[in-house]
Amino acid sequence: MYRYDHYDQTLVDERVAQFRDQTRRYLAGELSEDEFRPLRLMNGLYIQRHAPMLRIAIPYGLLSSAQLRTLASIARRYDRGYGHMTTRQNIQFNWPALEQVPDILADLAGVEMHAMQTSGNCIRNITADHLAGVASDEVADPRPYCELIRQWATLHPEFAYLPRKFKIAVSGSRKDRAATQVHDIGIQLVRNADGELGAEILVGGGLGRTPIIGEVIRSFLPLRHLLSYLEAILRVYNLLGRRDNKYKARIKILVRAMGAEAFRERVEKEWEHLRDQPDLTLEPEDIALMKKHFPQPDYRTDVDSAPMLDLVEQDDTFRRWYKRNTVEHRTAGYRAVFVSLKKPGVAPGDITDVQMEALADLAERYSFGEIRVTHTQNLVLADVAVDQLPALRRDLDELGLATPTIGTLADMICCPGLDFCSLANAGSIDVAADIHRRFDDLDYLYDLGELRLNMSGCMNACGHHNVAHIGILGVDKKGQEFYQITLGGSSTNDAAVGDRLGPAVAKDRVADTLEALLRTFADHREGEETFLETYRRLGIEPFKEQVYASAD
Amino acid sequence: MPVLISDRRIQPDDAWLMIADEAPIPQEGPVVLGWDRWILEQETLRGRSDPLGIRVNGDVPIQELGPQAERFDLIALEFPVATDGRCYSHARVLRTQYRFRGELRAVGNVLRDQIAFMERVGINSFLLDQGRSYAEQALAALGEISVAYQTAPLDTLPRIRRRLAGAEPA
Repeated sequence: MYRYDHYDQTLVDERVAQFRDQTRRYLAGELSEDEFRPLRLMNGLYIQRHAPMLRIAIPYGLLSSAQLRTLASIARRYDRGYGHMTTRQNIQFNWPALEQVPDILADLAGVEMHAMQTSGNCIRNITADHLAGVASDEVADPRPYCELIRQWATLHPEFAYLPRKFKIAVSGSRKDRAATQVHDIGIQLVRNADGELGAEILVGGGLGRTPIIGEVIRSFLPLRHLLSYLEAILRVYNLLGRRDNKYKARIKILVRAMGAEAFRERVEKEWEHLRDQPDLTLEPEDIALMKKHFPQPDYRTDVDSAPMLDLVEQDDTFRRWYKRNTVEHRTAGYRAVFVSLKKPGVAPGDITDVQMEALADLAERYSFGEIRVTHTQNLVLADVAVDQLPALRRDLDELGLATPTIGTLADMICCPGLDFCSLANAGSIDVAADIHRRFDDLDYLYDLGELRLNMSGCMNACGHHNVAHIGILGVDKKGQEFYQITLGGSSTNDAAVGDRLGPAVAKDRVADTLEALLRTFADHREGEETFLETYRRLGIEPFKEQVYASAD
Repeated sequence: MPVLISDRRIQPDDAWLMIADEAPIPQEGPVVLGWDRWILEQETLRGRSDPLGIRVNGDVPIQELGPQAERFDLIALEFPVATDGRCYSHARVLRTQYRFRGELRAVGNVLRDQIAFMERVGINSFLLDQGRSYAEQALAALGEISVAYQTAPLDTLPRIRRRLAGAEPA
């Protein structure tokens, strides 16, 4: 993975010192609340319901075991012994004391991490495919480009005060696992007819209260121009994006107002001035140098998969885990393993200090010392030799990290909700617990097949509810927690915004409503159709009838 | 009393006179006019030989200002609130695309914790309203982060590429 050089290290160290002084001045009354707000936000610090919340960047979801150990130590020393993995591959701590945040940032800098630009109206953490570098359908490894973009975006002086936050995702595979169509900028690595590698550029996607699927404004951009093109898009947005209404300030609103074609023309015009600037041009040697940071691990060639495959036949527990929680790898004898953070009874995405430390050990033992964070709030050990899988499963199981439900209904995305977040209208963690209790039969979950259930506690959509097969959105109805259901959304290649089912349901009716939806699915399903396929074939009516009829 | 920092020094005097939109323009001396006034009165100002400055905010279309930029010795960029980031782009475009070499001055809500970003987009003077000791702190804050991944328009710091090739930070 990318290692800091002296230059990178100087930047994060000086940034920590700068924030330490800003915090000191705020606490001494020299900086007003209004003046301190953008400064702390750009260092990842929110003021939340109970305490500050610190969001730490995990660039494109990649962690070393040493970094994970530091996160464990932060959880233990400064928080309450756990952290929360987010849908943007970051980790959040919910209980740090403001006075201690500079110390936390110093600890992070010690392992080449930071919390810069994880909040605020600036370019946020760059996210990517959690199977980067190992997926068998990969066109090119997105990580070198992510790191180049991360550096370009870090403390970019022109774009520190954008109209609103700005999120960039990069996918290097045919199957989009990075939700590129619902980001402010989505980058899809592609090859043209000549076999040359380039980028397809999408803009104007986003979730929140106005979910919009991004539009392609360039189908093939030579990679040497990647940074200059991004700079052109950001400049047009910085100058023209609305600043009078924060709900209309995202780039998606600008693109929609101008029309994608007019927006594209404006960007291309701006780009004419930027495209040949040497400092924004990625020469082949620049890319080659960055690629060296992401070498292929030293894979074993003597892996014997036969005993493991026998175990798949003989052992139900192992088979379930193997089928649900591991996926194919481009190297023979290897699988990528999902570490489930969806154990029933635990808030989705939460991980304790003890689990983090133990997992760091497992990563070293089984997967070249690296861990990835997925946007579905799980972790991945990406390079596991298949003869190690039985031992790894046992170790993960002892830690409560082997729940064999990846990709099923029980693998739901869930924001922290009303319990922690000051924006939320309704709880999400307790609803998730209800759902886990109701749908606890593994065979039933497997029968339902691929199902993406996402839940957000408010319309800011941190839980990506509006691009879920089944989305649940917490709303406030006269002081009561209600939940609006959407169906048919997706954040992958067939991206779509979900359709509203009908009136919101009360908290104690959410699990019943889900059951009614799934009954409808079971009644109408043809063959091995997924929920999404059935829904798209049938439309919303039969689901609506079932849910609201049974409610009468 | 506002304090002026330019070229990384606190300046004892400010030669420029900011002219309010309704106020009369003195016959002589360097003056800074608002954009709207310039648009209306540029014909009569054409013969003026003393230095002329212009004051713009994020609403002024940069494509209209840019081609005229060389007519001015100073362009004052107004930050009505600290979070209005449009003038950062104006500064960069003026420096890199229109090759403006005169003084670019930040005015309005100019804060100690922002002027390092402003300097890196090519702004080289700052008018601070919060007194001398604040201005001294602001000056010191310019050096808080000594490295950057982006090239500033007026500097010769190593580019991303040289850095990646192993160049030492400046």
